[in-house]
Amino acid sequence: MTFTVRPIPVVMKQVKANPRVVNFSAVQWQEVTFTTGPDPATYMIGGALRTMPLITTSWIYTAADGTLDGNMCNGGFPILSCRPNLHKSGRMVVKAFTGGWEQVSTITVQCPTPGDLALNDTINDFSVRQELLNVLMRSYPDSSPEAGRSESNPQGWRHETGGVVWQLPNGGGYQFVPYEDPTSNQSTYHLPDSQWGASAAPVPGAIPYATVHDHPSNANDVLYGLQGLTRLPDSTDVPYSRWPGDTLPDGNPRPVNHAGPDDPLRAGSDFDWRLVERRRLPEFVVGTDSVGFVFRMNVPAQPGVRTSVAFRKNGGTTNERKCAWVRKYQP
Amino acid sequence: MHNIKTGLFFACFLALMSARASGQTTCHANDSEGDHFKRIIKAMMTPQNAPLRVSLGVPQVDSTQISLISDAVVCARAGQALDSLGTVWAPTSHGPHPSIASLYVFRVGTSYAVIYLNPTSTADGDFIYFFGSSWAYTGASVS
Repeated sequence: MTFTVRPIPVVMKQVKANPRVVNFSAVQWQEVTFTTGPDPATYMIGGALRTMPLITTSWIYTAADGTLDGNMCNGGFPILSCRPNLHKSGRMVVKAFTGGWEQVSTITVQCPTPGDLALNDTINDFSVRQELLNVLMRSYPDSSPEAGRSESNPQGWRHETGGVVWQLPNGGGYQFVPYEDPTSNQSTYHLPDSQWGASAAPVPGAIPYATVHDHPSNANDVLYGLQGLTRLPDSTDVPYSRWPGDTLPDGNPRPVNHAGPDDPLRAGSDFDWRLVERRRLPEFVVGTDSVGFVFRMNVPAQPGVRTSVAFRKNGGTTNERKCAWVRKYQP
Repeated sequence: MHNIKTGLFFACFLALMSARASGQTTCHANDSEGDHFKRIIKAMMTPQNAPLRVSLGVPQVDSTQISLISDAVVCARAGQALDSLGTVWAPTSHGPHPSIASLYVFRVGTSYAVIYLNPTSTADGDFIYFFGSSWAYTGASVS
Protein backbone atom coordinates (compact mmCIF):
# COMPACT_ATOMS: atom_id res chain seq x y z
CA MET A 1 0.00 0.00 0.00
CA THR A 2 1.30 3.42 -0.84
CA PHE A 3 0.24 6.83 0.41
CA THR A 4 0.65 10.12 -1.31
CA VAL A 5 1.03 12.94 1.16
CA ARG A 6 0.36 16.42 -0.12
CA PRO A 7 0.46 19.53 2.06
CA ILE A 8 -2.77 21.48 2.07
CA PRO A 9 -1.92 25.16 1.69
CA VAL A 10 -4.27 26.42 4.37
CA VAL A 11 -3.30 29.38 6.46
CA MET A 12 -4.92 31.02 9.42
CA LYS A 13 -6.91 34.14 8.55
CA GLN A 14 -5.69 37.38 10.01
CA VAL A 15 -7.53 37.66 13.31
CA LYS A 16 -10.01 40.53 13.35
CA ALA A 17 -11.35 42.59 16.22
CA ASN A 18 -14.65 44.37 16.52
CA PRO A 19 -14.59 47.12 17.69
CA ARG A 20 -11.06 48.05 16.68
CA VAL A 21 -10.81 51.26 18.67
CA VAL A 22 -12.03 51.58 22.25
CA ASN A 23 -11.55 54.51 24.60
CA PHE A 24 -10.74 52.39 27.63
CA SER A 25 -10.14 55.47 29.75
CA ALA A 26 -13.83 56.31 29.42
CA VAL A 27 -15.42 52.87 29.89
CA GLN A 28 -15.08 50.25 32.60
CA TRP A 29 -14.94 47.46 30.07
CA GLN A 30 -15.80 46.70 26.48
CA GLU A 31 -16.81 43.43 24.91
CA VAL A 32 -14.65 42.84 21.85
CA THR A 33 -15.21 40.06 19.33
CA PHE A 34 -12.12 38.43 17.87
CA THR A 35 -12.54 36.11 14.89
CA THR A 36 -10.32 34.03 12.69
CA GLY A 37 -10.69 30.96 10.46
CA PRO A 38 -9.00 28.88 7.78
CA ASP A 39 -8.06 30.44 4.48
CA PRO A 40 -9.30 29.04 2.18
CA ALA A 41 -12.30 27.85 4.16
CA THR A 42 -12.81 24.93 1.76
CA TYR A 43 -10.51 22.94 -0.50
CA MET A 44 -11.09 20.52 -3.34
CA ILE A 45 -9.66 17.17 -2.37
CA GLY A 46 -10.24 14.07 -4.47
CA GLY A 47 -12.95 15.83 -6.41
CA ALA A 48 -14.91 16.80 -3.29
CA LEU A 49 -15.08 20.22 -1.67
CA ARG A 50 -14.04 19.78 1.90
CA THR A 51 -14.20 22.19 4.82
CA MET A 52 -10.75 22.95 6.17
CA PRO A 53 -10.37 22.32 9.86
CA LEU A 54 -8.79 24.91 12.10
CA ILE A 55 -8.30 24.16 15.75
CA THR A 56 -7.66 27.21 17.90
CA THR A 57 -5.35 26.44 20.78
CA SER A 58 -5.13 29.74 22.68
CA TRP A 59 -6.60 33.25 22.78
CA ILE A 60 -4.17 35.22 24.91
CA TYR A 61 -4.73 38.94 25.48
CA THR A 62 -1.86 40.95 26.93
CA ALA A 63 -2.63 44.48 28.08
CA ALA A 64 -0.18 47.14 26.95
CA ASP A 65 0.77 47.90 30.54
CA GLY A 66 1.49 44.22 31.06
CA THR A 67 -1.14 43.72 33.76
CA LEU A 68 -3.60 41.46 31.95
CA ASP A 69 -2.09 38.38 30.46
CA GLY A 70 -4.19 35.32 30.08
CA ASN A 71 -6.14 32.92 27.97
CA MET A 72 -9.48 34.60 27.33
CA CYS A 73 -11.34 31.72 25.68
CA ASN A 74 -11.21 27.99 25.37
CA GLY A 75 -9.74 26.76 22.14
CA GLY A 76 -10.73 23.75 20.08
CA PHE A 77 -12.73 22.95 16.99
CA PRO A 78 -14.68 24.64 15.53
CA ILE A 79 -14.16 27.63 17.83
CA LEU A 80 -13.26 30.57 15.61
CA SER A 81 -14.23 33.49 17.79
CA CYS A 82 -13.68 34.84 21.26
CA ARG A 83 -15.58 37.65 23.00
CA PRO A 84 -13.80 38.80 26.14
CA ASN A 85 -14.63 41.90 28.16
CA LEU A 86 -11.51 44.04 27.90
CA HIS A 87 -10.46 46.75 30.33
CA LYS A 88 -7.29 48.03 28.71
CA SER A 89 -5.57 48.42 25.36
CA GLY A 90 -3.56 45.38 24.38
CA ARG A 91 -2.83 42.65 21.93
CA MET A 92 -4.74 39.45 21.25
CA VAL A 93 -2.52 36.58 20.16
CA VAL A 94 -4.41 33.67 18.68
CA LYS A 95 -2.73 30.36 18.01
CA ALA A 96 -4.32 27.66 15.91
CA PHE A 97 -3.49 24.38 14.24
CA THR A 98 -4.33 24.19 10.58
CA GLY A 99 -2.72 23.08 7.36
CA GLY A 100 -0.50 20.77 9.35
CA TRP A 101 1.27 23.21 11.62
CA GLU A 102 0.62 25.72 14.40
CA GLN A 103 0.04 29.24 13.17
CA VAL A 104 -0.22 32.56 14.94
CA SER A 105 -2.12 35.74 14.22
CA THR A 106 -2.34 38.87 16.35
CA ILE A 107 -4.25 42.13 16.47
CA THR A 108 -4.36 45.05 18.85
CA VAL A 109 -7.26 46.95 20.37
CA GLN A 110 -6.26 50.48 21.24
CA CYS A 111 -7.61 53.83 22.31
CA PRO A 112 -8.01 56.71 19.88
CA THR A 113 -5.22 59.28 19.93
CA PRO A 114 -6.90 62.45 18.71
CA GLY A 115 -4.90 64.78 16.55
CA ASP A 116 -2.80 62.62 14.28
CA LEU A 117 -3.91 60.39 11.42
CA ALA A 118 -0.76 58.25 11.34
CA LEU A 119 -1.12 57.38 15.02
CA ASN A 120 -4.68 56.16 14.41
CA ASP A 121 -3.98 53.98 11.40
CA THR A 122 -6.19 50.94 11.96
CA ILE A 123 -5.53 49.72 8.41
CA ASN A 124 -2.05 48.72 9.52
CA ASP A 125 -3.00 47.87 13.11
CA PHE A 126 -1.52 51.06 14.60
CA SER A 127 1.88 50.10 13.20
CA VAL A 128 3.25 53.65 13.51
CA ARG A 129 2.63 53.58 17.26
CA GLN A 130 4.46 50.32 17.72
CA GLU A 131 7.30 51.42 15.46
CA LEU A 132 7.75 54.63 17.44
CA LEU A 133 7.94 52.56 20.61
CA ASN A 134 10.45 50.35 18.86
CA VAL A 135 12.58 53.36 17.93
CA LEU A 136 13.16 53.87 21.62
CA MET A 137 13.95 50.18 22.14
CA ARG A 138 16.60 50.37 19.42
CA SER A 139 18.24 53.22 21.32
CA TYR A 140 18.94 51.03 24.34
CA PRO A 141 17.53 53.45 26.92
CA ASP A 142 18.05 50.76 29.56
CA SER A 143 21.83 50.82 29.03
CA SER A 144 23.89 53.16 31.15
CA PRO A 145 25.30 56.22 29.36
CA GLU A 146 28.77 54.71 29.78
CA ALA A 147 27.98 51.24 28.43
CA GLY A 148 29.94 50.44 25.29
CA ARG A 149 31.13 54.03 24.93
CA SER A 150 34.81 54.74 24.45
CA GLU A 151 37.18 56.70 22.22
CA SER A 152 37.01 53.91 19.65
CA ASN A 153 33.20 53.71 19.87
CA PRO A 154 31.79 57.12 20.84
CA GLN A 155 28.29 56.06 19.80
CA GLY A 156 27.97 53.66 22.73
CA TRP A 157 24.99 51.46 23.32
CA ARG A 158 22.60 54.24 24.18
CA HIS A 159 22.24 56.52 21.18
CA GLU A 160 19.47 58.28 19.31
CA THR A 161 17.84 56.71 16.32
CA GLY A 162 14.82 57.42 14.14
CA GLY A 163 13.47 57.30 10.61
CA VAL A 164 10.61 58.48 8.43
CA VAL A 165 6.84 57.92 8.55
CA TRP A 166 5.43 57.59 5.04
CA GLN A 167 1.86 58.04 3.89
CA LEU A 168 1.09 55.19 1.55
CA PRO A 169 -0.79 55.74 -1.71
CA ASN A 170 -4.42 54.82 -2.36
CA GLY A 171 -5.50 55.12 1.25
CA GLY A 172 -3.09 52.42 2.33
CA GLY A 173 -2.37 54.00 5.68
CA TYR A 174 1.08 54.80 7.00
CA GLN A 175 4.41 53.03 7.23
CA PHE A 176 7.51 53.77 9.27
CA VAL A 177 10.94 53.21 7.71
CA PRO A 178 13.81 53.23 10.22
CA TYR A 179 17.13 54.91 9.62
CA GLU A 180 20.15 54.29 11.83
CA ASP A 181 22.59 57.20 11.82
CA PRO A 182 26.05 55.66 12.27
CA THR A 183 27.31 58.91 13.80
CA SER A 184 24.48 59.45 16.27
CA ASN A 185 25.08 59.59 19.98
CA GLN A 186 23.08 60.33 23.09
CA SER A 187 21.93 63.72 21.88
CA THR A 188 22.42 63.91 18.14
CA TYR A 189 20.73 62.22 15.23
CA HIS A 190 21.12 63.23 11.62
CA LEU A 191 18.66 62.06 9.00
CA PRO A 192 20.01 62.60 5.49
CA ASP A 193 17.63 64.35 3.12
CA SER A 194 17.91 61.36 0.82
CA GLN A 195 16.03 59.30 3.42
CA TRP A 196 12.83 61.27 2.95
CA GLY A 197 13.22 61.97 -0.75
CA ALA A 198 11.00 60.32 -3.36
CA SER A 199 13.66 57.72 -4.15
CA ALA A 200 13.50 56.46 -0.57
CA ALA A 201 9.74 55.83 -0.66
CA PRO A 202 8.93 52.30 0.54
CA VAL A 203 6.44 51.92 -2.33
CA PRO A 204 5.96 54.08 -5.42
CA GLY A 205 3.70 56.99 -4.71
CA ALA A 206 4.29 57.12 -0.97
CA ILE A 207 4.94 60.60 0.39
CA PRO A 208 6.87 61.54 3.53
CA TYR A 209 4.51 62.33 6.40
CA ALA A 210 6.90 63.01 9.29
CA THR A 211 10.44 62.44 10.43
CA VAL A 212 11.27 60.75 13.71
CA HIS A 213 14.01 60.69 16.32
CA ASP A 214 14.06 59.80 19.97
CA HIS A 215 15.51 61.06 23.24
CA PRO A 216 16.70 57.97 25.08
CA SER A 217 18.06 59.78 28.14
CA ASN A 218 16.24 60.95 31.25
CA ALA A 219 16.81 64.18 33.13
CA ASN A 220 20.05 64.11 35.09
CA ASP A 221 21.58 61.35 32.96
CA VAL A 222 25.10 62.13 31.83
CA LEU A 223 25.20 63.05 28.14
CA TYR A 224 28.26 62.12 26.15
CA GLY A 225 29.29 63.13 22.69
CA LEU A 226 28.34 66.74 22.15
CA GLN A 227 31.58 68.40 21.13
CA GLY A 228 31.60 70.26 17.86
CA LEU A 229 27.83 70.49 17.73
CA THR A 230 27.24 73.67 19.65
CA ARG A 231 29.29 76.70 20.45
CA LEU A 232 29.76 79.43 22.95
CA PRO A 233 29.32 82.99 21.70
CA ASP A 234 33.11 83.31 21.40
CA SER A 235 33.06 80.39 18.92
CA THR A 236 34.52 77.90 21.36
CA ASP A 237 33.18 74.42 20.72
CA VAL A 238 31.65 73.25 23.95
CA PRO A 239 34.09 70.50 24.89
CA TYR A 240 31.86 68.20 26.91
CA SER A 241 32.96 64.65 27.50
CA ARG A 242 32.48 62.38 24.52
CA TRP A 243 33.13 59.21 26.44
CA PRO A 244 33.98 58.27 30.00
CA GLY A 245 37.42 59.57 30.95
CA ASP A 246 37.60 62.04 28.04
CA THR A 247 40.16 64.81 28.57
CA LEU A 248 40.98 68.30 27.36
CA PRO A 249 44.22 68.86 25.41
CA ASP A 250 45.89 69.89 28.65
CA GLY A 251 45.03 66.53 30.17
CA ASN A 252 42.35 67.80 32.52
CA PRO A 253 38.98 66.06 32.50
CA ARG A 254 36.40 67.48 30.15
CA PRO A 255 33.29 68.83 31.85
CA VAL A 256 30.40 66.41 32.08
CA ASN A 257 27.05 67.45 30.74
CA HIS A 258 23.60 66.32 31.89
CA ALA A 259 20.24 65.87 30.25
CA GLY A 260 17.72 68.43 31.40
CA PRO A 261 13.98 68.10 31.82
CA ASP A 262 11.55 68.43 28.96
CA ASP A 263 9.34 71.42 28.39
CA PRO A 264 5.86 70.01 29.07
CA LEU A 265 4.39 72.22 26.35
CA ARG A 266 6.98 72.08 23.57
CA ALA A 267 9.55 69.64 22.34
CA GLY A 268 12.72 69.99 20.34
CA SER A 269 15.89 72.04 20.26
CA ASP A 270 16.45 75.13 18.15
CA PHE A 271 18.29 72.89 15.67
CA ASP A 272 15.36 70.46 15.55
CA TRP A 273 13.02 73.32 14.79
CA ARG A 274 15.24 74.63 12.03
CA LEU A 275 15.06 71.17 10.46
CA VAL A 276 11.26 71.08 10.72
CA GLU A 277 11.06 74.49 9.11
CA ARG A 278 13.43 73.53 6.31
CA ARG A 279 11.92 70.13 5.56
CA ARG A 280 8.33 71.32 5.99
CA LEU A 281 7.65 68.01 7.70
CA PRO A 282 6.54 67.50 11.29
CA GLU A 283 8.92 65.60 13.56
CA PHE A 284 7.97 62.97 16.10
CA VAL A 285 10.23 62.98 19.16
CA VAL A 286 9.95 59.80 21.21
CA GLY A 287 10.59 60.30 24.91
CA THR A 288 11.62 57.69 27.44
CA ASP A 289 9.06 55.66 29.35
CA SER A 290 9.69 57.96 32.31
CA VAL A 291 8.65 60.89 30.17
CA GLY A 292 5.73 58.90 28.76
CA PHE A 293 5.09 61.01 25.68
CA VAL A 294 5.71 61.12 21.97
CA PHE A 295 5.86 64.75 20.92
CA ARG A 296 5.02 65.98 17.46
CA MET A 297 6.73 69.19 16.42
CA ASN A 298 4.34 70.89 14.03
CA VAL A 299 5.43 72.67 10.88
CA PRO A 300 5.12 76.35 11.78
CA ALA A 301 2.28 78.08 10.00
CA GLN A 302 4.42 81.21 10.08
CA PRO A 303 8.10 81.66 10.95
CA GLY A 304 8.86 81.47 14.64
CA VAL A 305 5.51 80.04 15.72
CA ARG A 306 6.71 76.78 17.19
CA THR A 307 4.06 74.47 18.59
CA SER A 308 4.07 70.81 19.46
CA VAL A 309 1.58 68.20 20.59
CA ALA A 310 2.25 65.63 23.32
CA PHE A 311 0.74 62.18 22.78
CA ARG A 312 0.63 59.94 25.84
CA LYS A 313 2.26 56.62 24.97
CA ASN A 314 2.58 55.13 28.45
CA GLY A 315 2.33 56.03 32.11
CA GLY A 316 0.20 58.87 33.44
CA THR A 317 -2.94 58.54 35.52
CA THR A 318 -4.76 55.27 36.09
CA ASN A 319 -7.12 56.04 33.22
CA GLU A 320 -4.31 57.14 30.94
CA ARG A 321 -2.43 53.92 31.61
CA LYS A 322 -5.45 51.98 30.31
CA CYS A 323 -4.66 53.52 26.93
CA ALA A 324 -0.96 52.74 26.75
CA TRP A 325 0.30 52.11 23.23
CA VAL A 326 0.88 48.47 22.34
CA ARG A 327 4.39 47.28 21.58
CA LYS A 328 5.46 45.14 18.66
CA TYR A 329 4.62 41.46 18.91
CA GLN A 330 7.55 39.41 20.09
CA PRO A 331 6.94 35.71 19.31
CA MET B 1 43.56 117.64 41.19
CA HIS B 2 44.16 114.11 42.29
CA ASN B 3 40.43 113.73 43.00
CA ILE B 4 39.57 115.03 39.55
CA LYS B 5 41.93 112.52 37.90
CA THR B 6 40.54 109.72 39.98
CA GLY B 7 37.02 110.80 39.10
CA LEU B 8 37.84 110.93 35.40
CA PHE B 9 39.42 107.51 35.58
CA PHE B 10 36.33 105.97 37.11
CA ALA B 11 34.05 107.86 34.73
CA CYS B 12 36.01 106.49 31.76
CA PHE B 13 36.00 103.03 33.29
CA LEU B 14 32.25 103.09 33.78
CA ALA B 15 31.71 104.46 30.30
CA LEU B 16 33.85 101.72 28.83
CA MET B 17 32.06 99.09 30.84
CA SER B 18 28.73 100.54 29.80
CA ALA B 19 29.73 100.55 26.15
CA ARG B 20 30.98 97.03 26.50
CA ALA B 21 27.69 96.09 28.11
CA SER B 22 25.44 97.67 25.52
CA GLY B 23 27.57 97.08 22.42
CA GLN B 24 28.62 93.52 22.93
CA THR B 25 26.66 90.75 24.52
CA THR B 26 23.03 91.78 24.79
CA CYS B 27 19.83 90.55 26.40
CA HIS B 28 17.55 88.55 24.14
CA ALA B 29 14.03 89.93 24.25
CA ASN B 30 11.38 87.61 25.56
CA ASP B 31 9.67 85.47 22.94
CA SER B 32 8.34 81.94 22.60
CA GLU B 33 11.88 80.59 23.05
CA GLY B 34 12.22 82.53 26.28
CA ASP B 35 8.91 81.09 27.49
CA HIS B 36 10.14 77.62 26.49
CA PHE B 37 13.35 77.93 28.51
CA LYS B 38 11.49 79.37 31.47
CA ARG B 39 9.24 76.29 31.54
CA ILE B 40 12.30 74.04 31.46
CA ILE B 41 13.89 75.88 34.39
CA LYS B 42 10.60 75.67 36.26
CA ALA B 43 10.48 71.93 35.55
CA MET B 44 13.85 71.65 37.29
CA MET B 45 12.15 72.72 40.51
CA THR B 46 9.90 69.66 40.62
CA PRO B 47 10.78 66.94 43.16
CA GLN B 48 11.66 64.38 40.48
CA ASN B 49 14.29 66.74 39.05
CA ALA B 50 15.86 67.51 42.43
CA PRO B 51 18.93 65.31 41.72
CA LEU B 52 19.64 67.23 38.51
CA ARG B 53 19.09 70.58 40.19
CA VAL B 54 21.44 69.67 43.02
CA SER B 55 24.13 68.34 40.69
CA LEU B 56 24.03 71.60 38.74
CA GLY B 57 24.12 73.73 41.88
CA VAL B 58 20.80 75.37 41.10
CA PRO B 59 18.86 76.59 44.13
CA GLN B 60 15.33 75.45 44.84
CA VAL B 61 13.11 78.45 44.20
CA ASP B 62 9.47 79.03 43.45
CA SER B 63 8.36 80.09 40.01
CA THR B 64 8.10 83.77 40.94
CA GLN B 65 11.86 83.81 41.45
CA ILE B 66 12.56 82.70 37.86
CA SER B 67 12.59 85.66 35.51
CA LEU B 68 14.13 86.69 32.20
CA ILE B 69 16.59 89.52 32.70
CA SER B 70 16.54 92.62 30.49
CA ASP B 71 19.31 94.51 32.30
CA ALA B 72 22.08 95.07 29.72
CA VAL B 73 24.80 95.13 32.36
CA VAL B 74 23.78 91.75 33.72
CA CYS B 75 23.59 90.25 30.22
CA ALA B 76 27.04 91.62 29.41
CA ARG B 77 28.28 89.99 32.58
CA ALA B 78 26.67 86.73 31.46
CA GLY B 79 28.53 87.03 28.16
CA GLN B 80 31.80 87.54 30.00
CA ALA B 81 31.05 84.48 32.12
CA LEU B 82 30.49 82.37 29.00
CA ASP B 83 33.67 83.80 27.48
CA SER B 84 35.59 82.78 30.55
CA LEU B 85 34.40 79.21 30.00
CA GLY B 86 35.81 79.39 26.50
CA THR B 87 39.12 80.62 27.89
CA VAL B 88 39.30 77.73 30.30
CA TRP B 89 38.10 75.07 27.91
CA ALA B 90 39.93 76.19 24.78
CA PRO B 91 42.70 78.57 25.79
CA THR B 92 44.16 78.81 22.30
CA SER B 93 41.26 78.39 19.90
CA HIS B 94 38.42 80.53 21.20
CA GLY B 95 37.33 83.70 19.50
CA PRO B 96 37.80 87.32 20.52
CA HIS B 97 36.51 88.46 23.89
CA PRO B 98 34.06 89.82 24.67
CA SER B 99 31.95 88.02 22.14
CA ILE B 100 28.95 89.52 20.40
CA ALA B 101 25.77 87.62 21.01
CA SER B 102 22.24 87.86 22.24
CA LEU B 103 21.61 85.78 25.34
CA TYR B 104 18.60 84.59 27.27
CA VAL B 105 19.64 85.29 30.86
CA PHE B 106 17.38 84.16 33.67
CA ARG B 107 17.60 84.98 37.32
CA VAL B 108 16.95 81.82 39.30
CA GLY B 109 16.76 82.97 42.88
CA THR B 110 20.31 84.20 43.49
CA SER B 111 21.73 82.18 40.57
CA TYR B 112 21.68 82.65 36.83
CA ALA B 113 20.79 80.51 33.82
CA VAL B 114 22.22 81.55 30.45
CA ILE B 115 21.20 80.28 27.02
CA TYR B 116 22.88 81.08 23.73
CA LEU B 117 21.17 79.86 20.57
CA ASN B 118 23.93 79.47 18.05
CA PRO B 119 22.46 79.30 14.55
CA THR B 120 25.14 76.82 13.52
CA SER B 121 24.48 74.38 16.35
CA THR B 122 23.50 70.89 15.31
CA ALA B 123 22.91 69.60 18.83
CA ASP B 124 19.66 67.85 19.51
CA GLY B 125 19.17 69.98 22.58
CA ASP B 126 19.84 73.49 23.78
CA PHE B 127 22.48 74.15 26.41
CA ILE B 128 21.53 75.94 29.60
CA TYR B 129 24.59 77.14 31.52
CA PHE B 130 24.16 77.76 35.22
CA PHE B 131 26.14 80.22 37.31
CA GLY B 132 26.09 81.05 40.99
CA SER B 133 25.42 84.48 42.46
CA SER B 134 29.03 85.56 41.85
CA TRP B 135 29.00 84.11 38.32
CA ALA B 136 30.95 80.98 39.17
CA TYR B 137 30.02 78.25 36.69
CA THR B 138 28.12 75.44 38.38
CA GLY B 139 27.09 73.22 35.47
CA ALA B 140 25.08 72.84 32.29
CA SER B 141 22.18 70.79 31.07
CA VAL B 142 20.73 70.06 27.66
CA SER B 143 16.99 70.20 27.00
